[in-house]
Amino acid sequence: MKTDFARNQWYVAAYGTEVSRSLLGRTICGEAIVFYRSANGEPVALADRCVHRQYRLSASALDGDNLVCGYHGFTYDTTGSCVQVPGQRRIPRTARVKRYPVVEQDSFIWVWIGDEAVADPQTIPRAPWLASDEWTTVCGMEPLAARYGLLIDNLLDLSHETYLHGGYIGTPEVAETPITTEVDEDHGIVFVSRHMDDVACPPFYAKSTGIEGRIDRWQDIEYHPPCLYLLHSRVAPVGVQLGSDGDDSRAFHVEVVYAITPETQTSTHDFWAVARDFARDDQGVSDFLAESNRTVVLQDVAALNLLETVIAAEPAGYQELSINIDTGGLAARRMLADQIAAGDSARLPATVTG
Amino acid sequence: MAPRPSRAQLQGATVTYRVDWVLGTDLLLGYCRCGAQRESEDPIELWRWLTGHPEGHDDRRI
Repeated sequence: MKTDFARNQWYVAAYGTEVSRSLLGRTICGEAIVFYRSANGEPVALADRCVHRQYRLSASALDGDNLVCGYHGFTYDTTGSCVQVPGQRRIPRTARVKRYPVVEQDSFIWVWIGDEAVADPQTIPRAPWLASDEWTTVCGMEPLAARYGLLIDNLLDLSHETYLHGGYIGTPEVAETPITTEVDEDHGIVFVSRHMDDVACPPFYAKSTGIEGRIDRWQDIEYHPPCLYLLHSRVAPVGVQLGSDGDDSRAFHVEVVYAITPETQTSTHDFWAVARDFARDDQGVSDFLAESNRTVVLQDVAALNLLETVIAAEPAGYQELSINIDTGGLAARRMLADQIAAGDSARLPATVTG
Repeated sequence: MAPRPSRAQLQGATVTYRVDWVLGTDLLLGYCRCGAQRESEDPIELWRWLTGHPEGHDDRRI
């Protein structure tokens, strides 16, 4: 069956702090999944649907490490095997729910959507700042009532900051400055770089860093399709250079991380995090960045929710227009399309020949 | 000459394709790992050419 999701890929399902000894139900790429932690702290992910009468296991309860369906008591262990059914000793052979490979890394709970046999945790892209003692992070997650591709388009083309996020992170120079785009097909990464010299400092950075006056501002995007987006943001007073040994301690660095996780065909989990290497113990800066970035994310959410209604009402094949600012977004779309095709072809039955 | 970012984004050898938006112009300059390059004002056309490697790349090496 063809889907619009890239299968055989890792997706961020939750923050580690969301998964506990309580049950968390969340839909990822159209698959309803229940998450919890075993008594020893290991995250568990099972299909959120009892094999008996399809009740939501996330609306059920834990008995030790086992999940007991809240409707008729079918009981599953952490592998998804049914270990008890009500009123009889024989457990039907097919009484099992799907277990999903799950990995906790960089503050995220990653889940594998696809064929469990080819899940390799080593391929999960990293966002090490989020769980580092040397960085301070604020984060959140906003539900998006729009297809995930719209958020990818949005994040790969930051020229929209000038128009949608003026007064927060947008300044005129963002839209006016050319970008450089690179594609690394060997590692599956799209890079988009915009380096701005001697430009206005937007409030997001002026208030958090204390810089007064103009800045040099770098935006280096690193998108690991399908899910992880990293924006390496560097701001510094005009003229502050990297040292010859690579030392950049006179600049301010912010790592903006998004995890773009499809929920359904037309809704998305929009995880966002902002990690910084300055004013690390200043709660006021943390509060400001959390509030400001959430405001920016909600501006995007409102715009993309509106865009989703437009696209949903369009006839199939309606043409759009792409210009230079879209170079990175187009590269991301292409790489994602290749991932979707690869995931779909892996599901096709083997062709009989001869 | 196309502008270069002031910091290398990749280690060079692993870059498959690169597109520079030439400063002060509407022109895009695409580079393929094979050494071919092409100018364009249409990013869709340019990606089609880059990803179509090796077709049409032999006569456009740097």
